[in-house]
Amino acid sequence: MDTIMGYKRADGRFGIRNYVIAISLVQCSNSATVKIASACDIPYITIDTGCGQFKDDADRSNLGMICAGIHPNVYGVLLLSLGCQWTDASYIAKEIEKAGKKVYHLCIQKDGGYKVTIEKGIKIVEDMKAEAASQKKEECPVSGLVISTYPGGSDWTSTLSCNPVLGETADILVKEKGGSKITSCGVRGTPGCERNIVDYAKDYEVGCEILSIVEEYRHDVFKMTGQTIQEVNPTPGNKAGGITTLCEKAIGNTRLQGTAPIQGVLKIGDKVPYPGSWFVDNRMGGNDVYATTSDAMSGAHIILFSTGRGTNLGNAVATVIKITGNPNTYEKMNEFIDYSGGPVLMGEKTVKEAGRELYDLMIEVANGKQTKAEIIGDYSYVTPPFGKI
Amino acid sequence: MRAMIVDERDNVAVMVEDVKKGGTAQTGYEPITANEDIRSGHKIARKDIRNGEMVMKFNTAIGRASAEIKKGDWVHTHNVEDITEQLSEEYCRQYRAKGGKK
Repeated sequence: MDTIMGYKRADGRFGIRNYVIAISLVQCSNSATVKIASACDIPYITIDTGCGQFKDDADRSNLGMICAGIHPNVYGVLLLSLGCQWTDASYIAKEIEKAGKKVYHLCIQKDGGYKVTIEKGIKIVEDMKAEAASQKKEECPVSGLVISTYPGGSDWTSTLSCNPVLGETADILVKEKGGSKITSCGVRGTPGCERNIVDYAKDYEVGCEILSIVEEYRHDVFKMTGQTIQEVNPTPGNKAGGITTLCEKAIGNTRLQGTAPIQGVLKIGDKVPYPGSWFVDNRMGGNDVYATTSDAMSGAHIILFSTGRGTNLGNAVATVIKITGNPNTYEKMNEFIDYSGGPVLMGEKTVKEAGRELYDLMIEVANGKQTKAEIIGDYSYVTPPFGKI
Repeated sequence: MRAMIVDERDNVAVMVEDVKKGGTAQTGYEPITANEDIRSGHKIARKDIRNGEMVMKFNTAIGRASAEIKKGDWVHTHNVEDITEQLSEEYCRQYRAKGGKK
């Protein structure tokens, strides 16, 4: 059995990192959260609401915070609030505690005001970091790894020398090693390539469920905007780069999904029920940060992020590995890209060889090697808002 | 100039480097003479494609030719119709009708 060294968690999962994170529960406590996190050099999550929300909106915000707190890569959490906000701090704390995590909550109004709260917060975080640093890693099965593959900022090389490489790596993890893969951009990305997704559904029921979700999404787009997806996609930028039709773009993106049978559909924030390939019903998955956050919300340890034009995006709890198929992008933006499929474009490597190399890199990252996103300190996390398109 | 073929059954290849009119696209299969300047990222026809015939990439129809396309022509929005919605609807209908059986 293949293993990696990870941090065992009370809920039966394991983490490949032992992050201490700070989460702001309302806009008003954002700045204090940022100051504490910056002083202690830890990931933080801020929020653009937390007050005066309607129920569906609030439930989604809460879910995002809870999923971050219980994520397997997290050791402990500091929650920050103002005190009069809508978000119920004790409910969030309780849910995170149930997963066996260390949780502390500071409230600016009750804990001595702004400056004192920040001082207290820094102390709490430093103590948690020391505890986290002393936790020993143990042998954990590679089959317990959950990854996602995501196509962001595609250019003409993505479909030739990047996405197929990610698909190969995903297949190694899922089909060879018994691990898991999720897709959180599927709903937005499926119109135009239904065949390439649904043909991989493990059975007719799963296939129909995916088709129904995508049809509903198409219908909602037209109802809300008066335009079809085909009218606005591919974008002028895509066309200038050589992408001619919507399905050409969509099918190109699916090349990173791998060929393992899709076991079923998860709601946003659902954990993977058992190892395999899973489709997440995230209607806002066309936006890089919403999709990667959704992946993290379902417990993805690692996100394999395909980027043609280059992006610095990381995640506050999931580890993001950035891959490009464009040798120019890799050279100019080496600061935040971890792997290049450029040799595949140039005919120097096969997709299979590159896929295996990327898998080996992924295992190194799982064992502790820092990704470029971690080195530059990009820990983005924005919960996809409750919405239909 | 280098070109890549995604699936050997495709009737287009993708230029990896810019090719000038009269230049040769090296695909790793047959070389193709470009009938016009084609930029990297853009498609070149590997064979003649009749008006109304499907343009095949990934061994899948990605659009319908809206003009006569000659081997070596640039293949893009000026000679390909985007029929994605139609192809999607057709697939959904067939999938449901067959009850998922392939």
